[in-house]
Amino acid sequence: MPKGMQPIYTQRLTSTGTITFNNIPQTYTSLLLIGSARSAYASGFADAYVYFQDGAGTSNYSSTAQNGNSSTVSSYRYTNSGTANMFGMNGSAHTANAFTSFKVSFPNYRDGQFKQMIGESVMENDGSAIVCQNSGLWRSVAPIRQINMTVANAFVAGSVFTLYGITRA
Amino acid sequence: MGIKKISIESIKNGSKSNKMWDQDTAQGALVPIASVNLNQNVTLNFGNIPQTYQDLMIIINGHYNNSGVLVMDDFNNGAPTCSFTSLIGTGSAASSERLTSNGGALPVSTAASPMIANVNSFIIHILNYTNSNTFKTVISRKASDNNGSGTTSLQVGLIQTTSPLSYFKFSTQNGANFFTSGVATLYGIKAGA
Repeated sequence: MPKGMQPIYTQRLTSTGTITFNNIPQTYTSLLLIGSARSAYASGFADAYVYFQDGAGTSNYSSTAQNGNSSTVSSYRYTNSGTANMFGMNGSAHTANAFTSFKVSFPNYRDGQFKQMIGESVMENDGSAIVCQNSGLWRSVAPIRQINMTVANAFVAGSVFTLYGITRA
Repeated sequence: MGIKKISIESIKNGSKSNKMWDQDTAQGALVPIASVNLNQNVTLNFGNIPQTYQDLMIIINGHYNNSGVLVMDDFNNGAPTCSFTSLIGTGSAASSERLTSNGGALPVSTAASPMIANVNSFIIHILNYTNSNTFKTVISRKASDNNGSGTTSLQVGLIQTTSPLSYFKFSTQNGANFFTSGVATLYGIKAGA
């Protein structure tokens, strides 16, 4: 078993779509998802959502977010949701070719406790920018075996997502 | 990269020389140093920290028995002055908190952004921890969402010691507050060549 942080799989969209990582190895301690992505959403910044193998039709998710845009900060919360809001994202109205950089951590993803996630993203558009930091909770004791990611109007072509596994000592 | 060395003993008994490089012994830039299985832990101690990495990272994922704080302290078994500035989201408002000239302890979860009596996650980076000329900067993120309550926070801290860090611990500062389960792992982050 390789030690440290190892790439598991990378998905690069060649057309507009959503992301699913299936059959996630159950051999690591934590998972880390790092990506560069952009939404086709036309009305501003879009929220990106994560859900697992129980599907998006449950009420097992909650999330707390805080955003800063250089002049104001705000915070909001979702409860009893079908997905966890884990980071924000540029849309089609923003600077062309400006993709959002993001990172979502899934510590202890196989543990028999509820899963507490951390999301971060930055969206700089030369005049309008947002930094986001989110917490997400999946109220399930099941190990994470599948990760799904969605956003309003889907991710655009060129978006790339890499899932890493991190081992403990 | 390929196999550097393999011996007859390796083939016979499956053991591997520490001089051998293969997919099992190879490590990336993030190397696990030590893990603590959480079981009624009031403190988490990390000592004899190797001085061979560029940065340190600690991932803590633990079920906490109460609402409470978590601090880093006992840096090199001393009490350097610490400070922090944080951003906290409560779900309805975002705020900022600052603590200055704090003796010996760097809170990573505070009264304004406490851990919840449920699962909490931390990712904490200590940058340039072996430098002997600079104070040590700590970046920490905390997730404590509890489906209608809890907070999310992002914090930068400063430990005013120029000594390379070889020991520190995490403490709940209250014997009645502890992690009931989970795991905490200290990682070393390698520098580039």
